[in-house]
Amino acid sequence: MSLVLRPVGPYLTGAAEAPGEINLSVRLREGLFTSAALRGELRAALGDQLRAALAEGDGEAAASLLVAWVQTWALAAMVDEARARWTQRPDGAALAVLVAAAEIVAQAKGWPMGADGRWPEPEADWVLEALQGAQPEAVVQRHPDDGAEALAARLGLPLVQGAPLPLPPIVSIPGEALAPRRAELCGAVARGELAAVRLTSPPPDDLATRLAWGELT
Amino acid sequence: MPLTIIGLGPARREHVTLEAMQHLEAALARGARVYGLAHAREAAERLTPGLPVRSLDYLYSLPGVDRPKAYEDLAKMLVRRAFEDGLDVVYLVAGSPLYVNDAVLLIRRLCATRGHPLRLVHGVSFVDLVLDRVYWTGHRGLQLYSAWNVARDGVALDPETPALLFQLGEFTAGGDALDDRHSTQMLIELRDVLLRRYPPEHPVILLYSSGRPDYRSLGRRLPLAELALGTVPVYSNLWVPAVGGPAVEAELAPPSDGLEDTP
Repeated sequence: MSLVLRPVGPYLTGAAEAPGEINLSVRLREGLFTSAALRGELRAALGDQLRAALAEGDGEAAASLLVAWVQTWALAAMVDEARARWTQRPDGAALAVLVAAAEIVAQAKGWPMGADGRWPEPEADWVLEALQGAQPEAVVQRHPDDGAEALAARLGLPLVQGAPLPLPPIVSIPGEALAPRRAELCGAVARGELAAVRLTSPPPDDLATRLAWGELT
Repeated sequence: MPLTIIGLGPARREHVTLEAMQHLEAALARGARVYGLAHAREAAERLTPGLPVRSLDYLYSLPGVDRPKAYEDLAKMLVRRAFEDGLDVVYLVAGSPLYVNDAVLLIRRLCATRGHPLRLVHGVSFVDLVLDRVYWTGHRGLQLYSAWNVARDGVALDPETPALLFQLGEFTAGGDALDDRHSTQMLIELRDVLLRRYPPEHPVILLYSSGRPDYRSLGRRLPLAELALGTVPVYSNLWVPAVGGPAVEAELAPPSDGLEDTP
């Protein structure tokens, strides 16, 4: 296999693009998670959408877009440093900035979040542009939630299995499951069998959930 | 032992028992999962540098979670961690685990009712340091209550038995210590309750600590009627001698460290 394509997920990679692959995660990171993109095309796109929402009298969309538009200033000041740190080692503070930037990218571009819900899934035009004329022969899947299946289907490419990514084990649950599953989840974290619990919806604001959240965090 | 509770004594390193030190060092050596609230963590940091102690302070800041609920949750969590998750758990507490410690009491009860083994390592209690500045004969027994119990919960003292009232500073109903500026209200309420059973000139002794680094036991004798004329540190205590009791029990004893008294 001379050239393969790697999807964006399951997380914004901190690695460099390896020979023989096109890594959309690297190209997305280097293309849009930058101060220049936030100050430029992303802020401009949000501004256009904001004006359109105001013209249509869509206050809810306008409020959300206004928040995102304002955030481009703060994120533009932080994202280059965060990206640089993220490419050196896992860095919680950098990740927080990149996650915030991901939401801006998705909103500005009108892209959905990927299979794991954390990183934007670029539309086909962006992917084709990112390929820069290269013609990968397959999409490599390294994680069930990396978006490889959808990407392969969109591009009409075969899906091949790559070496699984050595990710720490996490579990995804809805927020309301946190309290009922507290003992099981906190025990697994304490024993080192689980690295994190990902909530796919906001947890309810009740006593049992607050106590479970406190123990978990 | 899956679950061990270690009492670290009231403050000074010298008050940590040899047994407690041995257990701390063993916990470090075997990589036990150690938990502690704020004061206990500070003490452990001084006693056993490098021993990671997991904070439980989140329990103090959860909205809607008062101290009784927090301690219940803490107890259940530690028992679960030890006996369901199979981890080697150590819980550090300041002072003695057996004095006024709801979480320890609950852990002991939970372990007893479920048939779980529990190792409890005793520690010096704050009472030992507090009694340092009075002459308690023991001939008439001793009443031990929190100031809150007497001032606000309707506990009536027997004037013929000496009493030690602890946590004299102002606390919330949930158990949060407020700063010393808030102590006056508690002192006023306590004085008024005591004046129903004791004469205004009855001597009482304020007992408190000098704090870091020496934690000297300090004391001040005054008539009951003057109890609320000033503020007291949060963790102060009040010695109330018995009416008609041994005269020596109404005296302020000199400091046991041999140094000059500095009230």
